Amino acid sequence: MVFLSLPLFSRSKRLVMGSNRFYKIQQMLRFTWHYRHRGRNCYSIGIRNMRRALRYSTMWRKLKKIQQTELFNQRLEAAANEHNMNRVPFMEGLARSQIQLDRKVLTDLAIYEPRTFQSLTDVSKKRLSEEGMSGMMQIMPRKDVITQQSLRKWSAYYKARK
Amino acid sequence: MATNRVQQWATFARTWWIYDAKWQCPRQSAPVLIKYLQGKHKPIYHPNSDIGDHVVVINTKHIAMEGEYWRTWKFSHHTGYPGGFSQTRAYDAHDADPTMVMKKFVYSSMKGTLFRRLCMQRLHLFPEEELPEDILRNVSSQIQQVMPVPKRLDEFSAEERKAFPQLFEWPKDYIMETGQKKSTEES
Repeated sequence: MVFLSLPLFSRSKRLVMGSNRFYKIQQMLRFTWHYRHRGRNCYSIGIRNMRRALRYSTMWRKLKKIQQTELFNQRLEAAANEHNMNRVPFMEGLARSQIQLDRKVLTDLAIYEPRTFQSLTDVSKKRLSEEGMSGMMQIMPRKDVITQQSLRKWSAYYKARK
Repeated sequence: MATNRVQQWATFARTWWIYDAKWQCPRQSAPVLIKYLQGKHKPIYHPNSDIGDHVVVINTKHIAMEGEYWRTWKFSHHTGYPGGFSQTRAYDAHDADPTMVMKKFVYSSMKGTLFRRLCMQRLHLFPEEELPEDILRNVSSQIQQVMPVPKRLDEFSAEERKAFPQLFEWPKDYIMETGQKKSTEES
């Protein structure tokens, strides 16, 4: 046997009997030191608990995102309802007016900057009415909101006049 | 900013809503009411935070059930002992307690979490229009009714009934079978 380095030499089975098992247990304890009962001390119980915990964490990596999206949707629905809109038409109007804000930013705006969110709903309403989708809304949009499409329409109108 | 503190009070304050249940279906009203009881109408909603509002429901004695549901809808109960199962028809329950049907529908349409009892404590039911003064003082908003309240024929005045446009007149010798009892004056 050739030991190229000191740590490898120290881990060799021939020198220290059972050292492999020691390192295995240490590796498990890195995950289970904060568990309760015998799961933190006994290897056969702790290793099972650790594997179950790892399975759960794998599963919840996906579920966490789904739950978070559901919560955002719920909050956005509530925020849009305050301005007589539903969430789906609201998001559709934003997408069509090139406002690329995601659900997280929109909910943050709805909570901490309600006036900003209200103006976003106004833009969305205006845009939907321009697209001929005003049937999706319960009330008519404000007249003093300017979108890209209305700007284009005006510029075309003034060019034609010249 | 000096106003942030007050804004936070206003955000987490509990609003009192009033809902007129006259001629409203309890099955359709319940999902609307629990939205306000659980706080799902607020942008700060979170399933673990207790931010629901108070809902005052009046006129629960005058609710309307669809179809044959007054007769066919049954509320089940089990005492926990052998043979302790019983079922009550909706009209029986309504006779015993005019607020019971609405309460049961709201309770059963919520998920069975620990928050359900707290939400139910914030639901105030009254059989008639009269409200205690201390509750009426808190009310600041109204929940829209789920269905329009129709006007009964006997609520129209005789002039209005006469002014209603008539497409044609029945011939005098035409006998109409309405299936109703004839009044004593005719016989």
